[in-house]
Amino acid sequence: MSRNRKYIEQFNRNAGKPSDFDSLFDFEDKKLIAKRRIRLKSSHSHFAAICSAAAVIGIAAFAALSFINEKGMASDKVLSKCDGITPSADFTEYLEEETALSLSSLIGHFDYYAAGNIGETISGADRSFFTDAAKETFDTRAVIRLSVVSKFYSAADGMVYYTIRPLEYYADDYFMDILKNMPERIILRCPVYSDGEELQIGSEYILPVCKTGSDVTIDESNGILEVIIDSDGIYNALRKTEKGWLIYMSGCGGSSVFNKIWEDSEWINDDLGGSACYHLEESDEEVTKKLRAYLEGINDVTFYHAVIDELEGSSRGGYYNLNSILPKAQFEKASYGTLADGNPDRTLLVLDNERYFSLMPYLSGGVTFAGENERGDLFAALEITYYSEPEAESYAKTVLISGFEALNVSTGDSIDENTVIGECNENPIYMRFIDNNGLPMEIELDDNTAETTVIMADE
Amino acid sequence: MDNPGKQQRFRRCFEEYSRMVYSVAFTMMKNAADSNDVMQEVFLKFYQNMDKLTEDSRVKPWLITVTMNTCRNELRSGWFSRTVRRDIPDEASYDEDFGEKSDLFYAVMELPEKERVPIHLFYYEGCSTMEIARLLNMKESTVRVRIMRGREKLKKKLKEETV
Repeated sequence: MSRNRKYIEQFNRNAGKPSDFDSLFDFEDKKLIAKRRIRLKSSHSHFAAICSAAAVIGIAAFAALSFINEKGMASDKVLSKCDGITPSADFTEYLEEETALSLSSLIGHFDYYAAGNIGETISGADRSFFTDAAKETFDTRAVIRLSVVSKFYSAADGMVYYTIRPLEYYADDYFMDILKNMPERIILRCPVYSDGEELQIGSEYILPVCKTGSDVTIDESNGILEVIIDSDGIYNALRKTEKGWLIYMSGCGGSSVFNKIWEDSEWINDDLGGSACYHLEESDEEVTKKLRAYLEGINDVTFYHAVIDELEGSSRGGYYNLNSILPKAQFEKASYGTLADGNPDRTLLVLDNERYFSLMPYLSGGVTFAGENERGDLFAALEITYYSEPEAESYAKTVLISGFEALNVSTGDSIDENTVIGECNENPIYMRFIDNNGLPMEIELDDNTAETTVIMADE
Repeated sequence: MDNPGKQQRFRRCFEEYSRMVYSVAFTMMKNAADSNDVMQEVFLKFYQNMDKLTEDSRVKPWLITVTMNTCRNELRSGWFSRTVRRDIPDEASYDEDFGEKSDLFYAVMELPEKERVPIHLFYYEGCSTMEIARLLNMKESTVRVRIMRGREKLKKKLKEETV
């Protein structure tokens, strides 16, 4: 039995007790009521004192509670949360009343309708609208069906930049206002994950963009209009495979979009590393039907729907996640050095004296980043220095290695033969090679020699 | 499911799982007030999704996953980052010592999240490594390593404090 009695006793003693049912919930007229918890102002806390009131929970209105909780007595600042949405009622006047607020009465005054220009087209797309008459979730901003055109790893900020091509989207007013500007590029920016979770080039996904956890900005600093979506939500993405649409357990519980549509799903192993996930529908039509049913249930928000026509010149490339190549190998260390036979013309990345990557010609290098990403996972980015620039259009320039237990290098270190990059354990090691253009490179595993080579562009 | 039946089931699940949800939330939020807030939100979501979770065997993993996601969203939210957090909670005191040592508890709370959560699920909730792997969406071998590493850190820390 794995339970530890000492830890259980100490935890129960120090962690306090959960509130009981009656202090959190009640039932009234067949509806569940979530009682607001009283948070007292004290010298140890910045929480403001708020009124205690019973809140009727209709549909996902709990997020609204947090606004009131945050602001104390609700003020017109609450409206600033709803960018791009015009309230139809005068909220301010209602708030001046001094009676205790109940959420049900707030929602009644909080009906609003999206303002927008109906009839415009974007990139030749065809738009139709959904409108609904219930309460807003303060959650879903857009749902995008997209394909990944390219990806760029930035060692400087530990982020992956995906250039995406939207295929179809359901977007609220705010998001639609941004897309109406017809950006030339839409980028999804996410942290690098050491466990290999990434969007794959050429694959198709359905990704929710939510109001919390995502930011959407417009950038013209590169001379073209770009929309950048900062998202930590790729775990919530539905992925299209030959087996149909897949979603992982973490996505089901974390996304209000997919809470609705993963019911009756079968639990299977995926097509990559064998991770367990939910298998959704085989067909696009079925997934779309469920998605639209969910969006139609979001009240007081207009979702604009657009299907993007096939764009000319869109490119797709191949990519190999090392996790699919090295299944369950265990390593002690990763080092960067020369071949054991002393051949100075080749530089290797070595895992436990197993030659896994061979780069030609002999190279020195530097550590452009060594440390933790946003999730606290250790990774190192190595920049490869060539004696003379290769003639190939694309050649390996940066190596990202993640999955370390400990790092032996620091940012700015120079590395040469036999430099030990880091210590490993049973965690899988992920390596990605990035070329001189910032694009990922294909990796080919030679089963006979257990040696893997990075494929140059002209090979 | 009829409404009285649904209400009864909801209350029963709350009684059965509230301690678990609260404890998982506490490992992430590290104070009782926020943990209770998260618990309330999690059970609200559960109420909204109860009709889909007809098999009791699905409830526990669903609750744990949603609890962790809710905690992560809270920790990332603008509200949380704008509020100055203190380690001392305003409700049941994290620091209160009831006359007995709580060294193991403190040491676990000081572990990084990637080790703290698997260790808590393993030693407090009695989850198997396979269950933890499913909940956290990682390989079972990774779970075993993180528990092992967490234990090594705990041993080292507790040994240092003894000395």
